[in-house]
Amino acid sequence: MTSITFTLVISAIVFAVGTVGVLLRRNPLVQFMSIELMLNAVNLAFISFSGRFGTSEGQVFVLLVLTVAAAEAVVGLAIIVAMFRHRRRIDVDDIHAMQG
Amino acid sequence: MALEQLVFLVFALLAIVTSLGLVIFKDPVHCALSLVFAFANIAGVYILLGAEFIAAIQVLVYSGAILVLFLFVMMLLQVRPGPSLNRLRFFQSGFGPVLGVAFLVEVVLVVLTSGFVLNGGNITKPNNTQAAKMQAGVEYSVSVNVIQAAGPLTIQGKADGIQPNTVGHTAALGKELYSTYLFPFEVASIILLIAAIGAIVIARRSLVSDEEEDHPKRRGISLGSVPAQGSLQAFEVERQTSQSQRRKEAKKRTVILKK
Amino acid sequence: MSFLNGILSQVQPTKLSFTGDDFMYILPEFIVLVTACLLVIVDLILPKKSRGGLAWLALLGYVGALAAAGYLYYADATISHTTFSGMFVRDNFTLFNEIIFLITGILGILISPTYSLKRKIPLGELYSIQAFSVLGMMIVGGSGDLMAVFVGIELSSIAVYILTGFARNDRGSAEGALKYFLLGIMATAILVYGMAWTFGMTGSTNLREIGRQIASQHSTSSNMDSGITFAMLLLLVGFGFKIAAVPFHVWTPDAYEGAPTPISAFMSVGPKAAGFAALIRVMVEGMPTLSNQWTIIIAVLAVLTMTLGNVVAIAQNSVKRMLAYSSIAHTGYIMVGVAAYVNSNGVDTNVARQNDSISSVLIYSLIYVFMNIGAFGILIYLQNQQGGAEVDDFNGLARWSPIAALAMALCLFSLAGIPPTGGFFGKFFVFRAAINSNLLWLTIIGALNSAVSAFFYLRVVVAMYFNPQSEESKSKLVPTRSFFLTAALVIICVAILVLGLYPDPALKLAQDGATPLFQVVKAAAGQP
Repeated sequence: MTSITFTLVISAIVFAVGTVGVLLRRNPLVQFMSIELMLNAVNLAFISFSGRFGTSEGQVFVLLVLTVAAAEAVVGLAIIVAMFRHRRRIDVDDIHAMQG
Repeated sequence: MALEQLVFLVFALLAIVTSLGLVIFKDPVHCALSLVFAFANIAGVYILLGAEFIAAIQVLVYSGAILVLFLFVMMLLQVRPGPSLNRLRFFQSGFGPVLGVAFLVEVVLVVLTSGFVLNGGNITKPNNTQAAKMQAGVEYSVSVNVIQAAGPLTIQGKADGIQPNTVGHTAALGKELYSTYLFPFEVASIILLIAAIGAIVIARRSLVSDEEEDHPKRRGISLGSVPAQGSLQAFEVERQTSQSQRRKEAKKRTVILKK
Repeated sequence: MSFLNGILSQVQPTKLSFTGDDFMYILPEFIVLVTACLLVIVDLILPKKSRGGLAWLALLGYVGALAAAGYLYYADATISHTTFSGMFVRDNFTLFNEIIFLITGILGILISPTYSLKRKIPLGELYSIQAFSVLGMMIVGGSGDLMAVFVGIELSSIAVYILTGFARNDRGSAEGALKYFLLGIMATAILVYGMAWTFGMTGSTNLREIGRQIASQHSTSSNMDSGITFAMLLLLVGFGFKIAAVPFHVWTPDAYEGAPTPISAFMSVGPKAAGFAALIRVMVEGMPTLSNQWTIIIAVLAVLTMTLGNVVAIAQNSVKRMLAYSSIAHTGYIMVGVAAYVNSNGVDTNVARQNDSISSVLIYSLIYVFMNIGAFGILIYLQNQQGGAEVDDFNGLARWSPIAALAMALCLFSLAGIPPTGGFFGKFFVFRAAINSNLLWLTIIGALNSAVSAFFYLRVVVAMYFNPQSEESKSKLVPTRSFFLTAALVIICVAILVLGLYPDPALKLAQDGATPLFQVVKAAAGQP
């Protein structure tokens, strides 16, 4: 059951769900969380492949992705808070101060 | 079915179901809680794949730090539930799932047709991941030797010194991280540094009062309308002084609560 | 160089995967890192009035890093050294990219002070985060491993997300930053998923080893593995976002328009060049045997990118937005150079032709840095003087500031590719590489696009030289002098003319820069 095919398919499903979340939801916070989910799917793929080769490369890469995800979360939430200063509602459909 | 397989299956299914919750729930707070579950279940899968350290970090960093940060921001911004999915415009509700399903089909096809699966790539055998990893490790070191014989450009320090049976153990991972992978590790720490600096600069309260602001037209970018100025604090003051506004807010709150 | 090595081996007798020499090879990166950290600290210590000194500190750091890179080149002109267990490669490709990024950094510092002070943007943090971004790009340029590509791209991107949102009091800035951020990290997720698949199919994250593995798999079976194709597609999508190629360009205009203008100038050249460096490192070093597949994708995307960028740019009234679309179009031209890498059958030995392709990308990126930052520089000058950024605001610029109008005309002629300027040679090299690779159709489309682009560039020139200045703009005029901005524009104009009249030394350096990639490719194919 724990074959690499199975874990890769799980990773693919989670990645696809994350992608759908980004496209479907209009709240930047939820979109952002969906992208975090996509990164988790990537991590799952890395760990599966890492098990395939028996090297630690995949796991080290996962640590890097984790770190970057944490940094992105900090910056992204700061941007969302800054955005909130200028408007009460946050919704990507409302973001149209610039057109063209 | 052996117990390990059963546990694995449960973790996997729960991970998928809870990640679907992220997309389906209307209230962003529910989405976040659903995501916490998804992360925890994925951590369970990591443990069964032999990556204990990553599983621990997953729980600590993702569920423990990142998601809590999300919840704090939601609290701060008082986010409201979005529109329910069936009220979205067709393009939004139709395009996303179609693209997602197409992508999923594509990946599954790739997984099923890819060479390594066909050529007996089913390495992590049921019930015995450790032994399977040993086997995989042997295969790997053989192929590395072949590679090294092929060309003059060899990669030092990476091919040797990895004991397959220690992979996934925290000590072995730490050793690798601070020697072979020192360079990306240090760069990752720089990324965290700039994230901290940048978040402070962007999110801190404006040091300039509204009167001192330049007129919007002089700012060089043609904006559609005059932007609403003011920080959270300014907003609070405004709300307290304006009685009608306060009533409106209270009404809105009750509406949310009823929902 | 080896004295550090000796000390280190005495201190730490156990096996280390890096030596003191490794630190010598990353000296330019190290100098930029130290400068960036110093900028934050000094900013705290310095009294508010003397913050102008920070620009000098930043410039000193960049020039020092350039000198260090030059020293390493001087010490060994054919250097090709792998450090930190394959993570970082010191070769001439790294060198050329370092030159591009450091010049971007220098010009980015020079054009910001007056504009930022007027808008109360904190200078210390601005310079510091910009320096960190340059550091990330330099790491991408010298990366020898997918991990280094990933962390480098992320370091430079996250820094640029922050910079985009720097004008805190401006609604456009926050909006542009949010759009850029969300699409940027989604691209990151796709990119890193591609890296996971690449790792999964080859068992390594090292680019050279990936190249060797794919070559050996390619030689044993004629069919390409679907997993590798999938990985390649995901990587192309990820890089497409980073360089703003067309189906993935939607963030570009808003991010460029929303960001403070000096940051728009910086992000329109730096991250783009870094994206191309990563694309070339990963595709040419890691997947040369698949070049038939990826070059055709890039060629198609190049056509879309050039056409959409130029056509939409015509309709813009805001010069900032026009320059944003024009930068998309220029991505398209550079992609023509990448597409010219095409191989007819797996790995062929026509290295000279492929060298033309990669060196044309390098030299175009360098010229593009000057001309694009130049155009944005004049825009900043105009915004400093009277605030506006519309085409109409350029009316009569030649009357009240003939030198600025002349500099703008030079940059715009260069962007349009008109002969005595550097931009002409950039396009010439790119299109020549495409013709040599039998991509005549691509060259024709590129040339047609160039002709279209002349229309909207010349529109600004006409406004500057033939339209009268409106009374309203006269009344808004506040004369502002900026030593740094003037210095930047002088450097840019000289560079555009020098590259236009005598491009040989830069071309030679670009060809040297492309050479090390092909040694790797040949080694991957098992040739001597």
